[in-house]
Amino acid sequence: MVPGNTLRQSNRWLFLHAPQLLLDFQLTLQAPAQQQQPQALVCQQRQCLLQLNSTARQAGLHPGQSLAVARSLCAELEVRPYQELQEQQLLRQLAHAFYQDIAQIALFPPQGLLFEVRSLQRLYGSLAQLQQRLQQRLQHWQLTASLASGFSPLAAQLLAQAGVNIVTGEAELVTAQLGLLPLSKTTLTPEVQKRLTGVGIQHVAALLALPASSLSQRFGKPMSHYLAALRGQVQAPQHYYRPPPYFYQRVDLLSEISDWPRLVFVLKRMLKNLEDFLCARQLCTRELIIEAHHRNKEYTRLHIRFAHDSWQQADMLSLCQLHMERQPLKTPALELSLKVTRLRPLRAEPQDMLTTGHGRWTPAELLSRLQARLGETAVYRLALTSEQRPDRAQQSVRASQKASTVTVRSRVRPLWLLTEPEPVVINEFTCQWGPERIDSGWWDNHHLQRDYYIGLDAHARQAWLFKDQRGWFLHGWFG
Amino acid sequence: MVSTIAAQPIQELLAKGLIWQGQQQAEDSAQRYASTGYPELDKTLGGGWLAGSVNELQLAQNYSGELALLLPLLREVTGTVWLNPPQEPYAPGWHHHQLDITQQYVIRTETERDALWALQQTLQAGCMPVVLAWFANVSATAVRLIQQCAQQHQVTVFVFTSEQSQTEARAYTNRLLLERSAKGFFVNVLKRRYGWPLPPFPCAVDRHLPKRRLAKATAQVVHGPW
Repeated sequence: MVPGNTLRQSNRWLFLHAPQLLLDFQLTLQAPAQQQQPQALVCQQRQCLLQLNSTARQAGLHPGQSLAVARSLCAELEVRPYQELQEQQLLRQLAHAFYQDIAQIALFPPQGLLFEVRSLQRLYGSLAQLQQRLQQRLQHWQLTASLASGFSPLAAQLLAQAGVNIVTGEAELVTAQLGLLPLSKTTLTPEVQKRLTGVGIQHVAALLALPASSLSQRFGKPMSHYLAALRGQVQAPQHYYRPPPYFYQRVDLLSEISDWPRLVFVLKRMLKNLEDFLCARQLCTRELIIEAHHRNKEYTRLHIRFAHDSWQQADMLSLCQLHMERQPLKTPALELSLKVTRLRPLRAEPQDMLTTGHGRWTPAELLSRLQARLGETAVYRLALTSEQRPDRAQQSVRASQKASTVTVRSRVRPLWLLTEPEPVVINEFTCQWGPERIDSGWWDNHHLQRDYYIGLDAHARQAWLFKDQRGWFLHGWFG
Repeated sequence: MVSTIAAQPIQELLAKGLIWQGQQQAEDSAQRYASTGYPELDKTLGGGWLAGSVNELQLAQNYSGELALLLPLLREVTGTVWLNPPQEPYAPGWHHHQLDITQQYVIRTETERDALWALQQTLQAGCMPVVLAWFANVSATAVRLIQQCAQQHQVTVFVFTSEQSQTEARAYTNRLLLERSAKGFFVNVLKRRYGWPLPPFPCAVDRHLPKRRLAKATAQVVHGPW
């Protein structure tokens, strides 16, 4: 008999258990032909299988099997060590993906996520709709997972971990399913399980049927706490997931890759994740840091800056490809990471009707593309400064930078300036106008005292000439 | 009888559009022209710089007045790209001519191949109405590509090259040779749409440049001590 209070409860929780999270993710990064190879992740300490793909299962392998047996059953089995840290990071990413649908998510490492769903009933109308939404997301991630409802976090967790797929609002159905679970599927310690079996309790149903007080007398306080948690009588506080304020993803490439084009496939997926990340927060960015990690712990860094706010995968990818063309990968890479730390709020830029015209791209987008291939210093704008000295009266500014406006007195100045003044033989020129004395910069080390003239050269072109202590120089051209 | 037989092939050729007719200009009045700022040049080029055209400006020498020629146009447009200019454009000088210096973008490339790529990207972007590009030489294929791109995205392109001694055919809309002598600044129309090449004629670009002293009258005076 089930105590009455659980009956009146509704199923407030939903638990997602992805038994082979890490392997499923690795499979998505592989080419279809490679996915068909039998593959397994193994525990290195105990030398046994942990996660298997479907081909490996068809070959008769199952988790928990020792590596030696597995190898004898399936010679071509591809084996990789299981990495707990990577799976944890992946779980956070998964939580992040679900964060778009569900506000309250608690992480149950290494493979579980707990969702609080009661607060979402008004949003989704029914559990079925929410379930549909979650299934879509799982399909997108290509994950094998079980989803189970529960009136308590523990109940949902036990069901999902046992592989039961049950999404329902009715507590009775959950209780019935829960009752069928053998004790081995609970999270009780093996010792306690053995003692319970010793007194004839085989299934959870039998455990729930017993009065709590007598159980606690016999098995101590922890037992009664466990039952209270299972029945949902005590609500342990959950640490809900909060999205981090930056984006970081690191992917194991599974084999060494020696050139960028072959990394694009992986990068595409990472950028898609980044797009989801940015979209969820209504953020955008102007720089990405891509790092290819090599075998010797060193890495090649690609720092990609855009001249415009970007958040779309296709846009970012095309710019990344231009960068990659410019910087070939010298050493093969084992892992690839993508980091974005500088995020800015996404907002609709007021577009100038005149500047954008009927263009496909805005000027900023164009500049991003040009800079990506030609290098950042190859594209620039000029800006006026309030300096007297001709060389410093203008400066080149990064094309993406907003130009500051200074009011400068308008003087007769040439349209071209030579970066380095050229010494000239003055007799080849005819004087037209001058002199204009420029005497400035005595406060720093670049004191300048020059007399500027306009002169005509042999081709009747107007040249900007100056004379100082060292002699005559050509400094610019009119025309 | 004889005349009808002779006329037949021409009618056919006309129907196929293989013969260009001088009178066709009227049909294209819908095309957008931007005034060059020089009435005589406007008249020669059929109304001014055609939007979406590629114009070759052959320079006998750099800095002889080619920018002064384009100055009226550059003042009117927002967004000009300078591709590999021979020297640095000087902001205070442009400021003096009331040109919006914040709308001038300079691109420098190491190779001609990159320059062509950058030019193509700029044209495809369609957000910069005018592109000034300096090239040592451009192949006929490249010109055709630029012409197609420019026309499609309605960008006016000016390609500056040195004076070409032999004139190979190129797909430019206009080909002008700019020359300066002691007598002034001359435009020599080597090729234009809807018209024959023209002998050199003077163009008053000097009104945008510092005032010149009359060379002949004052030559002795100014040649004097600097």
